[in-house]
Amino acid sequence: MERLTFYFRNAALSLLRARRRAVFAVFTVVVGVAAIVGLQLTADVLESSLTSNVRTLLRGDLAVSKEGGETSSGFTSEELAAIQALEDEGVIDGFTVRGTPGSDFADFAKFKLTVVGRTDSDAVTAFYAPTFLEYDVFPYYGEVSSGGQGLWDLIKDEFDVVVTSNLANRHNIDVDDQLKLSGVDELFTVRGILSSAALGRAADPLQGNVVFRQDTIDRLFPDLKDPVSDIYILAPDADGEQLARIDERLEAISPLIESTTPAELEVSNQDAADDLRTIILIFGLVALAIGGIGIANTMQVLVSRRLPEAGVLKAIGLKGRQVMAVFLAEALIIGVVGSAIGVVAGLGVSFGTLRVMEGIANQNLGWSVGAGPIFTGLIVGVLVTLAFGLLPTAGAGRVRPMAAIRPNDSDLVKGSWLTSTLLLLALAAVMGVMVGVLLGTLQWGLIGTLGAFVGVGLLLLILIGIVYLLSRLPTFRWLTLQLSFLEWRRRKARAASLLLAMSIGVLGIGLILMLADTVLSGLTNSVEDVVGGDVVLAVNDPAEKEQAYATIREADGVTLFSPGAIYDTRLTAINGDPGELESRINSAEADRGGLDAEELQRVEDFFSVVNTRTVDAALPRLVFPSDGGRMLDETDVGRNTVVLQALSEQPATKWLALQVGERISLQAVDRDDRGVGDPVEFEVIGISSESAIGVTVFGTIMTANDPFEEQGIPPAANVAIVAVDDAKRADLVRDLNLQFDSVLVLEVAAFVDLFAELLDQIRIVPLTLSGLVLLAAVVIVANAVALSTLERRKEIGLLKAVGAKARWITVQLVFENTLLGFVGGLIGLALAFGVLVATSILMGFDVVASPTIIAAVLALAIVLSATVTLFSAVPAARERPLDILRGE
Amino acid sequence: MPENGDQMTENGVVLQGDGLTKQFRSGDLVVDALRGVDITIKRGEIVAIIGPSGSGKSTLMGILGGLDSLTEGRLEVGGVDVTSMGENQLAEIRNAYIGFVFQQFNLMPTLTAVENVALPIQFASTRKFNPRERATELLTTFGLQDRLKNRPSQLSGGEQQRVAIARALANDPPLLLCDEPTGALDTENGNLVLDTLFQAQAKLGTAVIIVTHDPRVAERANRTLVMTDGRFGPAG
Repeated sequence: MERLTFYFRNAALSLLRARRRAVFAVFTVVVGVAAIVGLQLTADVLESSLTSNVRTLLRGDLAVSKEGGETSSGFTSEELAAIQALEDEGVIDGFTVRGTPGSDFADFAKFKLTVVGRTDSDAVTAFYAPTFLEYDVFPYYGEVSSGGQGLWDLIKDEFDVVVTSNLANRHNIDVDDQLKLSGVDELFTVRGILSSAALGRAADPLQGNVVFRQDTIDRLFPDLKDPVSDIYILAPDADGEQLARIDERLEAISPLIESTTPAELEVSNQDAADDLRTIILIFGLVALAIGGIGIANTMQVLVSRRLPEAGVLKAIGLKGRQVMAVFLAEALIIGVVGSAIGVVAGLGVSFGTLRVMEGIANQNLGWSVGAGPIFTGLIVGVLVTLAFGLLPTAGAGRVRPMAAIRPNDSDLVKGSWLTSTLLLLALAAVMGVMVGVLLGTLQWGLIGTLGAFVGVGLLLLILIGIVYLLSRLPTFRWLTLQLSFLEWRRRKARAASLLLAMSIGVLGIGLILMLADTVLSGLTNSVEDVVGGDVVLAVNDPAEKEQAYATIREADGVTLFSPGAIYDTRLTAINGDPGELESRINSAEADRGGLDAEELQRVEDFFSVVNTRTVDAALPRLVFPSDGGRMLDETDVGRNTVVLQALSEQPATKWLALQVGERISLQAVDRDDRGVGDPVEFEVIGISSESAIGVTVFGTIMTANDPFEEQGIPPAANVAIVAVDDAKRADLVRDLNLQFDSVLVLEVAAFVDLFAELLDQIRIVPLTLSGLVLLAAVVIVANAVALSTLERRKEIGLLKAVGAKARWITVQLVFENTLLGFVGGLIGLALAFGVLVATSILMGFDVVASPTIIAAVLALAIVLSATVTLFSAVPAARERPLDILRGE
Repeated sequence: MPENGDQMTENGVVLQGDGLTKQFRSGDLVVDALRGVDITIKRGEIVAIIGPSGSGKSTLMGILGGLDSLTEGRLEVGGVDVTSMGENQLAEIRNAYIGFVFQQFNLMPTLTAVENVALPIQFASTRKFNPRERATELLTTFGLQDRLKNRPSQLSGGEQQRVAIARALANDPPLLLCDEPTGALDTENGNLVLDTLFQAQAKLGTAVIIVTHDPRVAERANRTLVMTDGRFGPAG
C-alpha cells in the first residue's frame, strides 16, 4: 500500500511539476475519448431513434411506396383502387396518403408559389415540395406539431397551410403571410412554421415543404398525374404475422409497390445503425490512435529526461518493474484524468452532433446519456494511454543503474530489440482486442489493428525518409532554414510522427471538401452543358404565352430565347413494329428473361416526355460516341428526327439496344396515360454517351419538329430557355414571375445553389468527424512542440547566452514547426487527391482540384501549426538563460 | 543471499573484489577502464579512492555498487558472490547492503526529506525498520529535524546532501559508496557533510568508500587508494 501511495503521489507531483506538458498529454487523451464517447452516444441515440417506435417512423402500421420513389410516377388509380379494396374487404382498417406533384414537369410548374404583397426576388419559388395530407387523419402514429399545436390545429380552413422552417427561412415567410398558387384565385394563409424535422420521412430536406389539405388540392387540381407518392396503412389490431400477410397482399398489387412492415423497418434500420456505428467508431478510434501517438511521444520525452532519476531509483534498490511502475503511474493518471474530461467533452460532442444531424435527417433525435459509452470511453481511454505509454516506460525499467553516476552517457537504456518488438506486438494485440470488442468482431479487430500498425509503421518509415530528404534541400545560407533542417534531421522520428498526425488530420477535411467541390462542379458543368441558358420557364396558361414571350424578347440583356414545348408520350413501336419493341424488352438482360417491372418502368419513364426544340445555341452540348450519331441541326427542322440523351441510371437505350438510324414510334398520351392521336415515327439520329451526373431539362427526347401540334394535340406545357446577362437576370426573373401568374421561371443558378446547400448539409457530419481527427492532430502537434522545447531547453539557454533574442528563438521554433505543418498539409492533400482520383476512375467522373480549397486547407494547416507552436515557443523563449543552464 | 548485513559482515570483510576488469567497446575500439583491480574492504573501514579524471574511479564505484557488470573478475559483497547475479537480485543487494551518496545528491524532487529517506525502506524485501520512524530518526540525528517536510528544492545543497546520506543509511547497510560527496558544495557545507558522514560511520560501524578529489576527505580516511589508468598505484 505504501508503495502504491508512493507511485501515485510521486506521479501526480511529477506531472504537476511538468504542468504544460502534462496538460497537452491529457488533451491528447481528451480528444480521443471525447470522440469515442461522443460518437458512441450519437450512434446509440441514432440507433434508438431508428429502431424504437418504428410505427411512428412509418407513420402507420405499414408504409407503402412505389419503386423508384419520387423520381418515378406515383400510384395509379388502379393501384389505389386495389388498396381501397383491401379496406373494403376488412384486411386493413384504413389508409391515408401523402401526395406531391412528383416528377411530372408540367404538374411541377403548376405549383409556383408567390408571397402576396412582396416584390423582392425571394417572393416567388417553385423549388419546394408541395405536400398534400389527408385532413385530420395523417399521421396515424406520432405527432406533427409546432409550438405545441398539432398539424390539424394549425390547418383548419381549406386554405390554411404550414411551411417548414428551411423553406420559410430561405424565402422570409412568416406566420399569417398569404401565399398564391398560380392559376388559383383564392389565397392560402400560413398558419405555422414547422421545424424541418417535424414531418419525418415526409420532409424534403433540400427544398422544404408546404403542407396543403389534400381535399383542397384534389378540388383545385383534379388533373394531377398520379400525385400519390406514399400510402400509410392502418391495421392496429394486426400482429406480426398478419402484418406480413398484408405486406404480401400489398406487394402483389404491382411489382413496383414496396410495402414496409415495422419488423422490416426495424431490421433495415438496425443494419443501417450498425453500419453507422462502425463508421463512427472507426473515426473515434483513429482520433484516439492519433492521441496515442501523443501519449507515446510525451512519455518518451518524460522518461528520457528522467533517466538519471530512474538510475538513482535502481541504485537505491528498486527493481526494473518497480521503476517502470513509477513512470507508468504517470501514464495512468494522464489516462484517467484525460478520459474523465474526455467523457464530459464527449457528452458535448454528442449533443452538438445530434443537433446537426437533426437538421439533416429531418427528425427529432433527442439526447440521452447511456452508461455504456461512458464506461467504454473511460476504459478505452485508460487502456490506450497505458498501452501507448508502455513502450517508453519500459525503457525506464531497462535503464542502467550506472545512469545515477554517469547521467550523460549515451547508452543509458539497455537496448533490446526483442523486448521492444514483443511490447509492440503486445500493444497491437491489446488494441486489436479492444477494437474487436468495440466493433463486435474480434477477428477483424485484431487483423485491422495489426494491419493499421504495420501500415502506420511503414508510413512512418516513408515519412522519416521524406523528412531526411527535405532536410537535405538547399538552405541558401538562410540560418533559420539551416537550423530547422538540422533539427528535423536530429529528431527524424518526432518530425515524421508530427507529419503523420498532420497529414491524417488534413486528409479527411481535404478529401471531403475536394469531393464535394468535384461533385458540385461536375453538376454545374453538366447543367451548363445540358441547359444551354440561364433561365428555364414553363407557361401553364396558353393565353399568357405570347405576351410573356414578347416581354422576354423585348427585355434588356436577353441574348438568347429558345421556345419549345413538352408532350407526355409513350413508346409504341420500334422500326414501325410493336412486336419488335416487345421482343427487345424480352431479350434485354436475356439471362433474366427480359426486363423486370422496375426496369420496364424506367423504360416507360425514359420515353414519357418529348421535348420540341428550336435549333439554336440552347441545345444541350451532349457528347456522342463514335457510333452515336449527332445533335439536332438545321437539317432536322420540319423532319421527324430525335436525339436521345442516354442516362447511366436509366439505361433504356442500352436495354432496348437502340441504334442510330432506327425508328421509334411515340404516341401522345393524356393525363390518364390514354393514347391521343396517332403514333408518330421518329428517326433516331443521335444517342449521347451516358453521363455520370445525369442532368436533363424537359426530358430525354428532343426533336426539332412538332408533329403532335400538327395533330392538334395541346402540349403538356410550353417551355423556353433564356440566356440573359448576369446583371439583368434577377430583374427578368422577378418581372416574369410577378407579371404572369401561369409562367414559372427557374434560375439555373438557384438550382445549383440548392444542390450546393444540400451538399453542405450532407458534408457536415463527415466534416465534423474529420474535424475531430484534425483536432487530435493539432493537439499532437502542440504536444510535439512542447516536448521539443523541453528537449531543447539547454540549446535555447546557450543560444540566449550567446546573444540570441527571445523573438528570434520564437520565430525559429514557429518557423520549423509551421514548415512541418505545411509539409504535413501537403502530404494530406496529396493523399486526399489520390483517394479522389482512385474514386473518380472507379465511378467515372472528372476530378476538380480547386486552388481555393487547396490554399484554404494549407492555410489552415499553417495557421494551426503556427498557433499551437506559439503556445510553447513563447514561454520557452522567455526563460532566463541562467535559470535554464543551472537547471539543466 | 545473506539475510542481513550483520550476518554478512561476521568475518569482517564487507567487500572483496578480485581481478576486477571492465572494458568498454565502441565499434572496433576497446577501452580498458579497469585493469584487474583487487580490493578488500573491512567492516568500519573508511577508504578514499583518489585519482585523475578518467582514471576509472567512477567505473570502479559502479562495479562495487552492483550498478554495472564486470568484464572479468569476481566480486563478493559480504561473502556472497554477486558477479553473475541477475538484475533483480542485484537490486535487492543494493537495497539491503549498499548505500549510495552521489555528487549531485539525486534526491527525488517530488518527495519531502523524510519521504526520500523512507523510500529505500519501503522497497526493501525484508524490512528492518518502520520507514517513517527510521527516516525521522536519521534526519533528526543529522540536525534536520526542522526540515522533515521540506522538498529538495527548499533545502540548501548541504542539507540535501545530508538527506542523501540519511537515505543511504536508511536500511542500515554495511557499506556506503560515496561519489564525490562534497563535489557540489562550498567548503563550509562540504565540511558539515563530511562531519555528518564520519559521525554516522563511527556510530553505525559502516564501511565507507569515498571517491573524491577533495584532499580533506583523503586526510580523514583510514586508507587512501590512488587510481591511475584503471588500476591502483602507490599512495601519493
